[in-house]
Amino acid sequence: MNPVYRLLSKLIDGYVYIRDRISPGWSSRNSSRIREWKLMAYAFSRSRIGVLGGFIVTVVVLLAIIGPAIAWEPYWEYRSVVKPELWLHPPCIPPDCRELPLFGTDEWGRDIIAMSLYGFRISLVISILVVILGAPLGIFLGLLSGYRGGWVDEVIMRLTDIFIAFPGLILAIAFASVLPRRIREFLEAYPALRDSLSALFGLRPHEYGQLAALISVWIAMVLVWWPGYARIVRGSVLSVRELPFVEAAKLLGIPESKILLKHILPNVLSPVIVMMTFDLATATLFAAALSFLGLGPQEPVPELGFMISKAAIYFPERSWHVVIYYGTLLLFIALGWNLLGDALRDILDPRTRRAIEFKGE
Amino acid sequence: MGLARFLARRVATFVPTVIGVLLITYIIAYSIPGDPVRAWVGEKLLNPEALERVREKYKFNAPWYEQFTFFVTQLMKAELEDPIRHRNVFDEIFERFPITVELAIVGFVFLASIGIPLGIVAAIKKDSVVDFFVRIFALVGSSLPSFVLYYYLILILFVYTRTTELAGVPLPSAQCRVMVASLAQNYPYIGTLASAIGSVPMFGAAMCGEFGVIGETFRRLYLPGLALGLLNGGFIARIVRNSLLDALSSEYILYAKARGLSKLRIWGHALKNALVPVVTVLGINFGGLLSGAIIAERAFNIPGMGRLMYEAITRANFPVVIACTFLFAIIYVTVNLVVDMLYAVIDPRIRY
Amino acid sequence: MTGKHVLKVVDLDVRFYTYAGVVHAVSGVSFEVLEGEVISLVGETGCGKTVTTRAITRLIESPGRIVGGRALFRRRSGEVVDLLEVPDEELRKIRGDEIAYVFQDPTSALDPLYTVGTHIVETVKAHRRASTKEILKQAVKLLAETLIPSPEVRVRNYPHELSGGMRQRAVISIGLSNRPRLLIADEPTTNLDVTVQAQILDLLRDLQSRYGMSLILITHNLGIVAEMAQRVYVMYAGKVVEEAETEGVFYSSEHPYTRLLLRSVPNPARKLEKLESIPGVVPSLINPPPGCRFHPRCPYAMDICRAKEPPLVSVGRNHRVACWLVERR
Repeated sequence: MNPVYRLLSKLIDGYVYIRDRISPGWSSRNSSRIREWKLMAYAFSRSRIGVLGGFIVTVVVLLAIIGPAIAWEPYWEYRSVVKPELWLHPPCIPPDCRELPLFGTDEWGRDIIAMSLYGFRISLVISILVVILGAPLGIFLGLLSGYRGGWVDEVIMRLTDIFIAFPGLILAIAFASVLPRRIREFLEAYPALRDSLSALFGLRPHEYGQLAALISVWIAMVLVWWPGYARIVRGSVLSVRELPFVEAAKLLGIPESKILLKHILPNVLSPVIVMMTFDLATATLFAAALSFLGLGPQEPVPELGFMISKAAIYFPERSWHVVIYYGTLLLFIALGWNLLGDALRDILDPRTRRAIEFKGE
Repeated sequence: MGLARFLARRVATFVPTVIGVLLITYIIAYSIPGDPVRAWVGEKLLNPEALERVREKYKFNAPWYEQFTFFVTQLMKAELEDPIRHRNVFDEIFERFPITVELAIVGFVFLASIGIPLGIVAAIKKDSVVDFFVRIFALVGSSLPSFVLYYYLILILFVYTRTTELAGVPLPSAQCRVMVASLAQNYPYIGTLASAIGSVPMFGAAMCGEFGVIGETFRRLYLPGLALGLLNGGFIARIVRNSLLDALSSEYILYAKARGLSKLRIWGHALKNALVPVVTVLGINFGGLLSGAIIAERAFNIPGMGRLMYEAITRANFPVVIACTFLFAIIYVTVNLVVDMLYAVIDPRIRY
Repeated sequence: MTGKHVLKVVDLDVRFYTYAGVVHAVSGVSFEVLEGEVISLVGETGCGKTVTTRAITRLIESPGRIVGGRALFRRRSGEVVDLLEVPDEELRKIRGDEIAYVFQDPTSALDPLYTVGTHIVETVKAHRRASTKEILKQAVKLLAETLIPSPEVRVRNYPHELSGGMRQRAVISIGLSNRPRLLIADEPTTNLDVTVQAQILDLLRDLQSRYGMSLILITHNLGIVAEMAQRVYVMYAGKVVEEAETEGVFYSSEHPYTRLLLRSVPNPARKLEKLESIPGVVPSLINPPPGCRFHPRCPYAMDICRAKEPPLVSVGRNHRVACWLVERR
């Protein structure tokens, strides 16, 4: 029994224990489901890409959570004003440079490793926020559209088509360029919201301008993200809707919402979960691209894409280390999610899962 | 019922989609809070009369339906004016748009020529080294931020090529351009379409048989094109591989073998069937190429529509942003229309 | 292999190497088909009938493999070849021309992107030279023979434009397009109305007598067997358990499985109390149990049945059974 499986198994057991405390007897009622989960956990633990992806993602998430707290330099200090030699200093190996940061500094003289700790938090939070909002929105509209049919379907589909008619980045650019002002006004009206959002992103409390830019990037991305889910979910609903068991449920008088939630949604869920995982990678890169184009937070916020774009001016002679370091970090974050998504897809597809299970046995 | 009726119906949905695109663009444009006029005029010239005149001109004081009609008619008549540079927005755009489109096309050519053969080989030699490589390639391609790849490539290849002439677009000869422009006058509908297509220098040159121009274009744009192709090539290869494997393992292929068809014909069956999802994906991917072109223009310093848009954003030059968004959307919708038509030609089941 | 044989299969062995283990789909199956004869392979789903007939022309794909046996076929030229050994190109020439298949599911057998006419044209062109126009004219006639209404329209239709029954008839037409010596029809009439079914069977019988075409009919419908076949092979779990002339199987079957099978077909002329079935399930063919494969479900199972596999022994003219009950006598 490999360690990954043991860990996952313990997690499942823990969850089962909690459910049992809440409603006694739960574990015996759902024993086959629990077994299915353990089988999936086993299949996951046997998949090398899954474990690798899971490991990378865990590291990234940990760094994102504790990053801003352990960063040894604050991001708002413009160091190279005081010490000019810190300006875009390339990486150096001790014992030559004892006091200088290992991987080098950026234009502001800040240690790029320290800055990346803030960057992890920003990238992770925004990608999660986008998927957490965009996916359910799309799923909801897709369910509604597919199940109701009629003019509801037509309207939602037209809307989806129009949104899809724009290449994603371009629509996001358009939205993200007009939203910041509105959002800034909104944030000024609700300081509590502003402060909690700032803390979420790891920024200092009065960074409202940049926060507004971040939020507008978030909203722009959500607007671009939902149509994909709506379409896929609608497609699944359409094919499941005609199946006899749905008709039977209707005849039995089960209300629509229950049919949707308990019967149709679970069938649709597997590909959606896989898509969400891949989308976390895509969203990370997308947000970085928007920042690269100047639409996200500006100085001094060390967003990964933005840092690359600032360093680009001096590329390649003076700023190669900045571009390569941040670029590779983005690569890793996305790689982690993509590997995880690949493994999840193999596991959730019953055919490939059987293959892994048999090999294990 | 057939092809013709399906195509007619598909073209008919083009119009409402375009209207929808206009609506969204308008909503984006006019949900600008505060006063963009100040930003345009520049903080220095705060002459209230001048401000008022500009506001009148863009109908900011009128109710929203008047604004919308004004906006649409301006777009349609291609008269929208850039408030900062005082030129017709579309003049500016048409200077830049060919290079962006050509960039996307060069990217597409690289994408297809890397992805499709790779995918076919990966399907034939399933589970081999090539197959494994394709998986890695697809994985890295979708995990690498595009601008980072561009800089990596610049770093690697610019050591050898100090400069690449990225400014300026190779154009076909003057008489060719005149001929292409005249097509719109001489032939109805088809002529205007042909003329529009021909306005892209590569296509115009192809129409006149001036293939040297095409070669020049590739030579100038190969670096960003290659980058665009590498980013999505792996993904396309995987789609091709999976689609081909699905086709090869299906009953009709076994039945074809049972009828003693030659290997060539059997491959024909498999490829044609595999083509269907691939064509769809390529169409969707074209949107990614257009987006990628914008980022590439920033990284490689190409003076295309992407750069124009970027500059317009930083200067809150909304008419330009709107016009660019609109144009990109139209291009994308058109490409997808072509893809759908192609799809219907290949797959008879779609024609309903 | 006598002058009267068109196909003689000896000791065919096909295995599938899957994740779950090695499936012995066909173990030591032998049968023969004479010129102009109709034989039938009968058995439950999963007994190996389809795999057997596909294995003859090496149509088995990974993870399946033909592990042993011979498939002797007499070609139109008179030459006898072992289909399991001939070079690929020669096999290709035989497939579709001298040996034709009618696949069980016509919807998945037809390529959705090609018309029915194109299917026929390419099948003919693969084997002889003719112009597309000629072949299409012939195709219309073929479709008419299989009783497809408006064949001149249908020949230009795509598979999804045809009903299930028409697709099945189209597949039959395609099979007949090169006037094969041997037609292997896998459940050719399952989707058809009884009336159409009767007409198709008449057609097959007619073609058979007119062109001397031999026919292997795979079915689980004993009514069709009674009507069409001259000899029957009853298969179970990858083996032939009984082979006889049709009358022999129906009136004097010896194997317990055959008898139970016959009993489970309800007789409309008699009042029924209960539908008969054979208790138990078809065994997994991964590491098949030792001894007779039917013993877990056999009401007469003896100790020896559990230990050793019964060989095929002759119990009469052209009648062989693999059962220890018979061996004992």
